[in-house]
Amino acid sequence: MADIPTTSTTLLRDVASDSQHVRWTEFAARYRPMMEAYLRERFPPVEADDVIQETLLAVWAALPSYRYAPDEKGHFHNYLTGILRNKALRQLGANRRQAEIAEKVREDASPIGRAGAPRTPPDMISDDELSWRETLVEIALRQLMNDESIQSRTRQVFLRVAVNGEKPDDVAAAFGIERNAVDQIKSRMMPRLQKIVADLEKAGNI
Amino acid sequence: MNLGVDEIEGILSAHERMPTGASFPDGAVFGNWRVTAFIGKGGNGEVYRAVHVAIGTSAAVKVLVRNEPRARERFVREARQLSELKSASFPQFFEYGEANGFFYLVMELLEPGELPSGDRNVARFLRQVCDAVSELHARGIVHRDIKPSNILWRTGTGIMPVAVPVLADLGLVKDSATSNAGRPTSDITLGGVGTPGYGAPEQMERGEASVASDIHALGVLADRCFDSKPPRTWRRIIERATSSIPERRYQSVDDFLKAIRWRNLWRIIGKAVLAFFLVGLLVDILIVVIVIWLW
Repeated sequence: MADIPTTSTTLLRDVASDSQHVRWTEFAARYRPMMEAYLRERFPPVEADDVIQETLLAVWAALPSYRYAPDEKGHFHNYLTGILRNKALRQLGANRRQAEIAEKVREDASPIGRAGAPRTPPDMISDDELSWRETLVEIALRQLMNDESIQSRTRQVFLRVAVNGEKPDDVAAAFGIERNAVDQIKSRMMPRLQKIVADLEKAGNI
Repeated sequence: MNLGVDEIEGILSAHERMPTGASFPDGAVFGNWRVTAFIGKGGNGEVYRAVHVAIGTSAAVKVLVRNEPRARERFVREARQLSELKSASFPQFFEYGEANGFFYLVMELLEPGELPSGDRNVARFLRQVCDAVSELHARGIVHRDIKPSNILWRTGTGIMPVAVPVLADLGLVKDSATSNAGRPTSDITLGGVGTPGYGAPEQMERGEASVASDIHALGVLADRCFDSKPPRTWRRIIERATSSIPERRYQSVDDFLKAIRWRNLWRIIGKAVLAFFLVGLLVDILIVVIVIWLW
């Protein structure tokens, strides 16, 4: 998955006040790979491009009033991801409605259509939601792993035991710490990860 | 949506393995040291926990991964400076070597820890960290990357062991006399060297690191000890140390420490005056009572 770009407050400020759009290209190039990676599995390239364009437009319109406050609101990429997610969900919804309309047209046209043509499976909607949950956890995990306020060793222990599935005893031996310490690290880090996921979800509800 | 911890654990368990970021696997050997775990990336290399192949002692091995002239020069400088710094404020240096084309440096393995809280604990902690920073500045060196993850802890010995902070990662240290011009490009990140949030504005934007930029980082460190809500007696100190204008900050670590030492001065003077007044009042009352009684 594409790396999450670090926030450049100078770039944000310049883009927000840039009537000549000189730095806009730089801004779009910086965040485009991340957005493309998020949308890759859900949309064909052309549609993904549309969603990205809509997102960038929305961001451009909102930037003059955006206040960067990582401690309160999370980093800029969280904000951007929230907008991207909403645009993508709207597009998915539109795609679904189109598919339903097309299906209905086919049913009405077909002599056997009314006799019980297969419906769109109801759990397709929850598949999208599940996929977004996985994406949120992925983003949150990368943010956690890049969080320098957490000691590197702590992040490494968590990564190995909670993500890579190594046995806690093996991880404890590798780091020369007690098994108990590994369990404590895992139980301290999981709520942090949960909070980041919740913050990402909240940022998306705009 | 509100994902629960269980659901997140479930998603993680199905997650593909995430690379640790290490360039070398567990079991890699550097000289007499066998790697057991990747700890993290330092300012100028990757740090691993390792054990001595013969006697099993643990140590931290820092390996230079980027084998380019500037990075090598910095690595050698770091090793030399660490070997010359004998005080307990820095990790103990063990050895320096090369294995299969990779330069490595072996030093004391220290523990990560939490920042202290509470007025006195924070004051003591900062005095100890400032001792280390002072020593660097006395040698004409600036650290450039003072932050919590570069402060490790050495557990004391004895009946009541007390952990002592140690200033680690000299990977970004620089001669404080070096100007911006001619600075190697490998030192430049997005405008400077250091960590966002700790690095002073002039350091992050223009790469101008100096004693004043280390003071800025110390101010941020103090602020973090109080979760960015310092008590009134610390607010003025932190504001001055973290001023965006270098000339307005404390001009030396000693000045910063003096401000910390005397942070409670006015409160103490106020209490002394009040105590003096109250004692005087009590004495006066006693005299009046005695006079009345004698009368």
